Amino acid sequence: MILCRLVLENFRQFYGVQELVFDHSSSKNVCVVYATNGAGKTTLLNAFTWVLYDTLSADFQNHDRLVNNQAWDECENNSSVKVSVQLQFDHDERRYTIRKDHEVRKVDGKMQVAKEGELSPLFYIDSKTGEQGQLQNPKVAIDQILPKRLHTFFFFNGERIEHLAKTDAYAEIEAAIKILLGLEILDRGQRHLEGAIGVLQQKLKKIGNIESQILIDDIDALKERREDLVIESKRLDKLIKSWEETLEAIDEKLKKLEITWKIQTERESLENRRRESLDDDMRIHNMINEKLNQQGFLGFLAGLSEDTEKVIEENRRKGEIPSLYKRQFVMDRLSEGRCICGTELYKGGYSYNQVEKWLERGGITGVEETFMGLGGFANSFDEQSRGLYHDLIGYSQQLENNRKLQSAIDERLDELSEQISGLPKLNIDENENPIQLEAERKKANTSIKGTNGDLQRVLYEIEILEDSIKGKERELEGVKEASDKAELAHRRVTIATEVRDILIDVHRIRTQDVRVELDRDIKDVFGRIAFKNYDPALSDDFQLSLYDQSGNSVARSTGENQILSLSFVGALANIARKQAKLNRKQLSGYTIGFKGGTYPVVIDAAFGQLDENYRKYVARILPELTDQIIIFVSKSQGLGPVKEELEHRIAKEFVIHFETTKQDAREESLDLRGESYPYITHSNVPNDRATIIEIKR
Amino acid sequence: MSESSISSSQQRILEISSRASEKAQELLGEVLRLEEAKLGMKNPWGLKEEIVEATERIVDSLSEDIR
Repeated sequence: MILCRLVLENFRQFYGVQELVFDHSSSKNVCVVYATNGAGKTTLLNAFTWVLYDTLSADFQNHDRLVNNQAWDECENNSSVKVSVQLQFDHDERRYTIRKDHEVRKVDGKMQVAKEGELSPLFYIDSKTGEQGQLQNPKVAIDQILPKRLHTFFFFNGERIEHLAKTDAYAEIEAAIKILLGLEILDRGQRHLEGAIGVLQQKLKKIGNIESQILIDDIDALKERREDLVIESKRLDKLIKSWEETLEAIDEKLKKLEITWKIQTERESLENRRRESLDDDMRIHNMINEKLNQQGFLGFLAGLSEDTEKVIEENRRKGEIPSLYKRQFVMDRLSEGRCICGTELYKGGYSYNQVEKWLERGGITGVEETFMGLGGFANSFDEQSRGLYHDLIGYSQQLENNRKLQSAIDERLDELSEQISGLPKLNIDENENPIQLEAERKKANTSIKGTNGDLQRVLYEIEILEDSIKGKERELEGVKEASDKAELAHRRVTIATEVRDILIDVHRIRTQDVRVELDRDIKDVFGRIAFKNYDPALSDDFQLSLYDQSGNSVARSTGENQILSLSFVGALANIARKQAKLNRKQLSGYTIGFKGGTYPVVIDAAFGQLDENYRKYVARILPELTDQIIIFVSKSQGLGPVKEELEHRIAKEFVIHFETTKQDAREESLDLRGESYPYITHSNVPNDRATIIEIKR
Repeated sequence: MSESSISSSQQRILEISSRASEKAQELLGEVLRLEEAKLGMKNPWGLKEEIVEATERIVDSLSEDIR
């Protein structure tokens, strides 16, 4: 999907019909729209999501009032105003046009909705053949081009994208991966096959032998218990989320109160640090597990070299294995005619004969070397064992450091909580009072901890039950039925179970593969902007993290979170693009996964509240994300270092001329390449309004 | 995704699929086809029964082959 043209008609700040015509090439893939706050940056982002997905963002206020104020004021009684957004985009060698119409009518001065956001069919024209047509179900067609549930990764507010790098975003990331690879179909297949297996087992139970009947009863009972626990886990999960929302609301209130905002800000920062430290604990535990899986056996080989040496020496003493010296050494002494003790050696003489006997005791060269090698081999185990011990001590030290840090944080968090509880009671609503809020906060935290413990216990029990069900299913597979009819019913169960297990395996492989690929791409995008010496990683449980060169988790600033999140978006776009170019995987004649393609990234407030340095980094990363980037920025955010970074990649630029009714507002212009464009001017009409102007390049 | 990992993943999926019996592979294709047809539906009523029917049809044709 490459965005070509956006046409707005009386849509919020944009009076009358106005348009943005985009452009892009491989070397110039960025379009910039400059606008002051309130001039329509968020409106433009929402115009895209409204026409494509019927969604409006939370920061786009008054969702039910889409009409432009001036157009509404000019509308006479019993007349109506048309509001619309039309978008043209290219995808897979077709140019598509979609349009959404909304209409409001003035009745006795009041607004009535005459047409509620009606979507036109999706028109297309084939760029090669010129064939034209229209798709009557545009929602489904758009969902196939860029799935609705993926769109938030491609159309977003830069200030909010940083949440992807936070610990609670894993579910969103996992969901995106599932959609990207069409894993949903595998999920659903597993679920429905499970139901079908149940039906087939009941049919078998009626005609099968007693052994099958008992096993099916056992499986039923185990599944029933599992279902109960799954319901319970969902309930607990919901409960935790609800407590978390309460906690979040309390924190917001505490942050707004002048008397507590400083304490609350410190608390938030400490809690983030604590969460990161706990993530780091998990990472270290995983590394310990991996180390023990690969080298754990070394722990049982302590003292191996010493024992080996003793055994070898003992056997040497008994003459059962060759001595340490070499045969060649004895032969050299004999040919020189002198022993190492200085005695002359004459062939046939007593001393010569005595030394010659050592040749036999010296053994065969190969055997000598093997035994000497054995000692060395045992020594190498000792060295590896010491290395393992050293690593484990290092990990344990890191865990201890984390524990100390967590304990210091906990102590400080307790102090902060005490500080709030000890504040004087304010003469405000009880529900807003810090002391009351802190008490509720403690209650919420205790509930979250307790409920989380219950949830973990339930999840563990589900895991055990899964294993038991699998075991019983295997047993059932092995049962021999007496009648042909029962044997047939038995075979149906076996094959359906086999297919369900294939889906589970394929699902696991594909999820893991794409996670590994995303991890690689995130590192690549992140590395290309050479931003500090940090290493990003997408963990097995879909957490985005940042590590320093020693492998320690880094406490991230908003800027770092934003860069990390943008790297993820870039990696996602990259995989979608590659997916389109490759032959998709076939499974039993069926192609899994959505088609993929090239997608734009459209960002409102791309530089958020970042400082100048971070803006520069973000500006550097943007053109690398995907084939088309459209950003909406204010003049203060988009000029200077950002402009320098982006200049050679800009295909088109626009300014939104904002006419304000605030007569005390300072008038401003945007000066680019010797031309001056109006940015903020005083309005000569009773309403604020915005006009799109293309900047000459 | 790089070609190499695609092919490695493809290989593993093909291995899993090839280890399955011929009829299981046939049923797998059928299940995926049925699922795709009802992918947009939140509650695809009757899908479980359709999978049961497909299983019976495919497995029963196997026993026909044997006879």
